[in-house]
Amino acid sequence: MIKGKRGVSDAVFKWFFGVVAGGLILIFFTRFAYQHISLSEKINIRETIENLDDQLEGFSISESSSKIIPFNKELELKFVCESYGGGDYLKKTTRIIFAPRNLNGDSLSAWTERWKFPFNVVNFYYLGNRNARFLLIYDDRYGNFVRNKLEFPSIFNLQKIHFRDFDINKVRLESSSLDQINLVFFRPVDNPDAVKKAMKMNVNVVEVDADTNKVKINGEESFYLSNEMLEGAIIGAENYKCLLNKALERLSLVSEVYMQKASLLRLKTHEAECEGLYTGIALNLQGLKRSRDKQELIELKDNLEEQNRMLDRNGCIELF
Amino acid sequence: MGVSNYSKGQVELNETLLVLFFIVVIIIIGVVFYFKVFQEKVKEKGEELSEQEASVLLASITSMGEISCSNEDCVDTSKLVPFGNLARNKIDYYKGLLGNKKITIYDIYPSAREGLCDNRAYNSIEYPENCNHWVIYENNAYPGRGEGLKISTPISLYYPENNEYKIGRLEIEFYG
Repeated sequence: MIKGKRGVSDAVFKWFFGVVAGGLILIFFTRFAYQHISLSEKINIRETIENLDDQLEGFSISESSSKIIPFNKELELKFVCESYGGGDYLKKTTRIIFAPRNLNGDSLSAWTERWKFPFNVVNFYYLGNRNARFLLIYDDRYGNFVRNKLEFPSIFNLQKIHFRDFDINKVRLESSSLDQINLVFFRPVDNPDAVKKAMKMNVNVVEVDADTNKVKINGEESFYLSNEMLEGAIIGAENYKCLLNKALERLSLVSEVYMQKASLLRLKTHEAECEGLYTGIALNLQGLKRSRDKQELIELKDNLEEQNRMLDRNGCIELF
Repeated sequence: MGVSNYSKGQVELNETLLVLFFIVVIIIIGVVFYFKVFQEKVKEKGEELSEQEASVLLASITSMGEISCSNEDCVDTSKLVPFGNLARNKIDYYKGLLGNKKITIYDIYPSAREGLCDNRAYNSIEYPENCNHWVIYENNAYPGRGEGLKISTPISLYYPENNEYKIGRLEIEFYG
């Protein structure tokens, strides 16, 4: 009797021991598998972002170019002014990337344009996808400008319509499945908040005054210096102000190079006229390096263009 | 004598514990080995991405506004000394753009005298014959590691002072 009981408790103990030990090993492997999946995903996102960065870098060779960048799976990309990335990885960047703050999808529409002011400064990047829509609404006054001067590649979900054809309810219905829409009015908007409310989705209202190079993004005023920048305000409305500062910072750095180049060329020339021109041009470059005022920057750019032409006319070496 | 001190149950329990111990040891060895291999693969991938980044930079750097010609696909040599000075003064900015690298441009043909092209060389009457290379950027975060991997490509160099073009070589040494 006692012997039998010992046998039973022995078997029960073995089973109990086996189940506990097996369970612990199973928990360990399950946890290990989950951790591995999460780590692999992190590595995949990093790899995708690094590849995207290389593709953008390679893109900068071109003055103007566009392409679709496919990913091997759905990604949620975040773009802030100083960095971009996915998951919990944000890569710091000095690139000027105009894009909606969040882009979800399995591909990106990418476009680059070189910003000249008046010399080559930097390439701007514009990113979007089918889930981000941009609607340019113009009136008779700016119809020509919007239709002919602002050219976007067809890979962007962008349309241009006359204000008389703009029906907010229709636009809302058409865009209800999208992540975001930027409504860009080339005319004043009485109540941007009312437009945002009526859309009932993630919307940015951009007002453009093409006569004074001013933009108002969700009621906040800013400016642009060229069409490339205006295109940036249209595509990357949320981060525009910060990206404008980034572009001006780069302009300041490139101006510094041209300033030093002007000084070096001044030392090399034997012509008094050329010397004077280089001195004058260096002064304007100094202004371009420091200024943050729209009107002053535009005037300095025009002056520099004229001074560069003068250098050519006087047989001096052109600066740019 | 000693064996008889242990009951059959105790011996079986010891056997089970021993088997379990070996299984756990094998699992630990397996996991450690797996992580080592995984770590190695991640490191390799990182190096591959760095190499890829350097190769892309090799192709794109000549289009940077700071050193490129205005309207042609070439490097304006009169901007190289100014850019070298700027990159040193604004290293934090350019570190973000160019990374952990050394970028040198060599004048290859027609060949000039061996030497670094700096402000002094540029201001000499003999320029551009008195020097043959520019170090336009250098940032080595791991100075103890020695020389990095070098890649290079031929480029066109423009000398605005005498409106001349020469053949050059752009070399990027990346420190990982």
